[in-house]
Amino acid sequence: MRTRIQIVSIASVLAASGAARADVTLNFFGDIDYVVEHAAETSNTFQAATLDVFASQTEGKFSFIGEMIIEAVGSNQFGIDVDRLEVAYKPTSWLRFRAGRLRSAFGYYGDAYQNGKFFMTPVSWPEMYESTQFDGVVPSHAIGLHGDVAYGLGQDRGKLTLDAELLNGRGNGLDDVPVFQDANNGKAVNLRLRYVGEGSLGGFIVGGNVYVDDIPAIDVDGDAAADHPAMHELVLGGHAAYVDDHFHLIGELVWFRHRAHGDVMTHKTVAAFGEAAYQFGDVTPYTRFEYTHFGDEDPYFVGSGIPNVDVQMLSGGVKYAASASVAVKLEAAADLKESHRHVLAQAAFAF
Amino acid sequence: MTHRSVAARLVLCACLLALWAGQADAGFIVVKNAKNATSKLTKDAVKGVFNGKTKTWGNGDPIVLVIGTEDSPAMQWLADAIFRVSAKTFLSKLKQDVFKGDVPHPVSANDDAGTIKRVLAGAGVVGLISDAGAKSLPAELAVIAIE
Repeated sequence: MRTRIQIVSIASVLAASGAARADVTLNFFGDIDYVVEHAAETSNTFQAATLDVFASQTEGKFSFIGEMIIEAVGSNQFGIDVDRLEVAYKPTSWLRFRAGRLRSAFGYYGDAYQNGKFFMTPVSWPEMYESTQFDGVVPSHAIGLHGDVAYGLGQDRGKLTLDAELLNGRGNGLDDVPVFQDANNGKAVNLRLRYVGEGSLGGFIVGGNVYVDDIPAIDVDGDAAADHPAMHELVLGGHAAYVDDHFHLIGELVWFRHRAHGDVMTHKTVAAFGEAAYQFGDVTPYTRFEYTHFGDEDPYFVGSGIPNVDVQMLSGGVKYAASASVAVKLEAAADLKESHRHVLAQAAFAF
Repeated sequence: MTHRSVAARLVLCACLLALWAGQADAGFIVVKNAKNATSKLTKDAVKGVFNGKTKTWGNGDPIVLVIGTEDSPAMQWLADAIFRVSAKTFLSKLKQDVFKGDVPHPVSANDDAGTIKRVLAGAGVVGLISDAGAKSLPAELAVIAIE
């Protein structure tokens, strides 16, 4: 009941602001799915679990983005999440600052597709970014300051871009985004350097990240499995993508190292994926392979609910662009190490 | 086959050819607010404007696009003549860049009158109107020539 009241209230505020400013436009994103899943047993279900309301406004060198997601994740109860709340200032064409809650400049997938499944070729994010059961291991949600600068290499030679971020960083668990109160005073630093192709290399991007953070300790009464000590975190990532009107090739590799304060023992994890697709008119067949290897039991990931089990997931499917606002997808996936398979049909929309 | 039926077929072919040629010639022009000093752009520069890669005019004003639905003739012309893709593909990519926050939200119009109204509303607004509509442009609007 409370959720319903909150949804009505927020919709009213958005509608009122829309009426007051005729140039503020609301967009609606979401997806409707039918999933057949086989793990310990086989299940099938329809899902209509996400509504994403997006608003943006530009006034001169300032711009605003607000994105509110109403979704039911892992349960039948809707919850509300403000996924993006950011103000940007762009004094020149090569320099931009942003502040607020934003998608961090980590890797390729997170800020290329944001929450728009309609724009993605597969049905969803790679698990390193987000899965249906838990938030991904990549630090893709962030609160803080962002700056990016671009340096042109000449006509049709592309450009180098550098993103630098100072953030609240990780919360008590992967699903805890410290939007109001950081759980510790240490701030995360994220740097991303990229080459962005132009001319004959248009659509090509290659880059890497360095992410450093201090993860706060958590001691949950009666739930020792969720406990973890305060930890230093170092994340190194590399990504390459070539996406044009026909080809779609994306690969990412991320290495995590966690070390508890005052300890010498480290926990290392590697996550990677590669996906390939080719667009024939409105039809795009694709495939994706995901790999995650936990060097040992990482207290932070395990405490966040991620099973300490390596993943080798192979998926393939087809996306059909029914219109500029609706895409229909069909995907089958299987974990090559575990007895876990699913088939998913999806209608994703962006109005 | 009689001479009469051959002649009738030739006339029919000529009519279809003329109709096709008329559709092919039905073009659009890029219009801007007269306060904007830009008078001509290369085809690549027009691409940069309408795919959002170029974000500001020479004077620093942010570029605001006037965009129609995928079945509007202007969007079909833009997608085909400038980007060589379908209107569906062009608009999907543009939506994605707006969603990322890389491109200001476009304003919408599906005909010449709507586009003219939108372009009049801001110095940085740019849109497309048909050749026919261009014959009676308001003084506050001007054409950007494509080189």
